[in-house]
Amino acid sequence: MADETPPGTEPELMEFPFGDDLIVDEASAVMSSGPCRFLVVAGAPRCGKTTLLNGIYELFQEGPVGNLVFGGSRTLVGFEKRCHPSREISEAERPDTDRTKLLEEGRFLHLRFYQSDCAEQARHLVMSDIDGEFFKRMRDNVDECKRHPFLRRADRLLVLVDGRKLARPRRRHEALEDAKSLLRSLLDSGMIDPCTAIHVVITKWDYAHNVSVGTQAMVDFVRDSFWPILAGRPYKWTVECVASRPADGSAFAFGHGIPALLPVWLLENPREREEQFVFGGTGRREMERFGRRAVTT
Amino acid sequence: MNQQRFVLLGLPGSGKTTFLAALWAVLNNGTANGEIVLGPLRGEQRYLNRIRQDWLRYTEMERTLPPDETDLAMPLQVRATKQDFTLQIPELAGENYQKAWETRELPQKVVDLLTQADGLALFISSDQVEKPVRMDQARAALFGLVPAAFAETVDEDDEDDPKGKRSKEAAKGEPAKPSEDADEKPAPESKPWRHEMAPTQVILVELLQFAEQLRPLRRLAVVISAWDEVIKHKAGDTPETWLKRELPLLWQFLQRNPGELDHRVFGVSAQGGDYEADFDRLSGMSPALRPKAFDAIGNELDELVAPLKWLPT
Repeated sequence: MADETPPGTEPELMEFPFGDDLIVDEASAVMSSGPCRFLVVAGAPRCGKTTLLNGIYELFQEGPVGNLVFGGSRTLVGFEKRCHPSREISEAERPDTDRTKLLEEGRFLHLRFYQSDCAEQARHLVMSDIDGEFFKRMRDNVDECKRHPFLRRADRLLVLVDGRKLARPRRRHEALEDAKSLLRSLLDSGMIDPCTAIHVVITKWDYAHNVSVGTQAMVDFVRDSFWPILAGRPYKWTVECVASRPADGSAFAFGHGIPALLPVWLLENPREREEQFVFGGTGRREMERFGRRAVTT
Repeated sequence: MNQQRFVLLGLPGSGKTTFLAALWAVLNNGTANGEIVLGPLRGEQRYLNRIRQDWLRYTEMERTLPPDETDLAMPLQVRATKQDFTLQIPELAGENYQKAWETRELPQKVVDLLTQADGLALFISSDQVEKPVRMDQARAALFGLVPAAFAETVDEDDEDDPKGKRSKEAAKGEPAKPSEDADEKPAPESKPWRHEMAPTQVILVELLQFAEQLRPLRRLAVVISAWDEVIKHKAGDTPETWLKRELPLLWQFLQRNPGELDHRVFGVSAQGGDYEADFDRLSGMSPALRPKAFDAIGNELDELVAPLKWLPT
C-alpha cells in the first residue's frame, strides 16, 4: 500500500498484542474471557515439558485431534519458536527442544478449541511452560511453591516423569524420586487446590513401554511408587503415558498418547465436584462463572 | 449510489492483483454472460488499466501500487435491473500483511480499511504453501528411500545401552567412558528462528486473528488462486478438500458455528493457465473466457466476481 504520509514523518501504526508467551497477567486475562482449562506442567529439566506442549500444537497443524478443532491461539509465535528446533527448516542435526528460559515469572501458552460434534462456544486452554530449574527449587523448598500463586488455579497438574530415565536402571529411581519429591512439595505447600486433578505423565514412553521393573509393568511400578504420596489426600489422580516426539525408528506415532488425553484434560471439569458441593448443582452459569477466574489469587 | 467495499487479504504473491486485473479485463471486454457487468465509467482507472494490460499481454503483474492511487473503484451494474454500484477494493500490498506477522503492527490506514470493509476475501496461492515439516517427517520420507540408514537408533552416549557402548568402542578403538546423560547435553547448533520460517497456515491464521480483533469476521471468502495448477496435478480436487489437506490449521480455524463465522471457499484461475506452457491455448481464446472461478466442490461458476458477490450479507 502506498505511504501517503509526508516525508520525514512516521506512519501511524496499530500494534496487536500477544503472539509470544503470555505472562501471568495476560494469561489471567485470557482465562477470564471464557470457559477455560488451566494446566500446570511440572517436572525436572529436560523431562519433556515443552516437548509435550509442542506435541499438542504440532498435532493440530495436521488436523483436528479427535473431535477437538483448533480455534486459534494468542501465542502462535511462542509455539513456533518452540517447535522450530524440531523442524526440518532449522537444519539441526537432530530434533530437539530448546531449554525453557529461566525467568523470574511463569510463561504460558494458549490454544482455543471447538468440539466438532458440539455447537457450543470455544474453550481456552492455557498451559504453563516453566523451566525445570524452577521446579527443582520448588522440590527443594516448599516455600518456593508459595511464590507462585498461579499454582492455586490449576485445573490439572501434570507431573512429568522422564520415561527415558525410567528405562535405565541407573537413572530410574533418581527420576522417580525427583518427581515424587516435587509433587510432595507442591501438595504440602497447600498451593494445589483439592479439586485439581493430578496426572503423573510418563514421557518418552517409546523408551519405557517395554521395560519391566522386576515383575511389574512400568505403569504399575510408577503407580505404586506414587501411591504413598497421594494416599489420604483428596486428589483425583491417574498415571498416563505419552511419547510426544518418539525417537527415529520407533513404532510409536508422533504425539503418542496425546489424542486420548487431550479431551480429558480439556473437556472434563475436575472442579465440578466442588461446584456440586458449594453451589448445590452443576448449573452451567455457575460452571462458567467458576471457569472465568484470574490466574493470580 | 450503493457502494460495496471489500478488502482483499493475502500474502505477497497470493494472486490478489492478478484477480483484479482479470476481473477488470473481463468486465471491460463486455462479452461475458455474468449477472454483473461494467457500469458507466467514472474517475481514475489508470492502475486498473495498467494491470489489465499486463494481464492481456500474458505477463506477470506489477504488484506495487503507484503512490497516487490507494483505492480502486470498479463501477458495476446488475445486468437485469441496471442498478449501479461501486466495488471499492483498496489495493493493499501483501507485504503489509507479511510485515504485520513479523512486527505485530499494521498501518492505521490499513486498520481503518479492514474495520470499514463490507467483506473480506482471503487470497491464498496454491503453489506457495510452506508446510510445517517436522524432522521426523523428513526422515521418515528419507527412510522410505534408504531404510538401512535409519533402521536402528543407537544412543552412543548412553552408558546403559550396550549397543551404544559397543558402537562407541568400535568407532574409537578404546573402552567406552561414562558420559553425561544425552538428555542433558545442549541442543546442537541450528538456524535460529525467524518469522518468515513460520508455516503459511500459521501466518494466515494470525492475519485473520488480527482482523478479528478489529471487527467480527462474520463472512469470509477464501480464494485459492492458480487453481488451474491444482487440478492439472490432481484432477478431481476441490477447493474445500485442498484447503483441508494443504492448510489444515487454517481449515480448522474456519470451522466455526456459521453464526460466528460464515466462510466459503473458492478456486480461481485468474490467468487461465501457465503463461509459458499454455500460451498457445490462452492466446487463441477470448480474454473473457480465460479466467475461471470454482465453488467449494469444484463446480465452475458463471462469473469471476462470484467470490466477491457472495460476501455481502
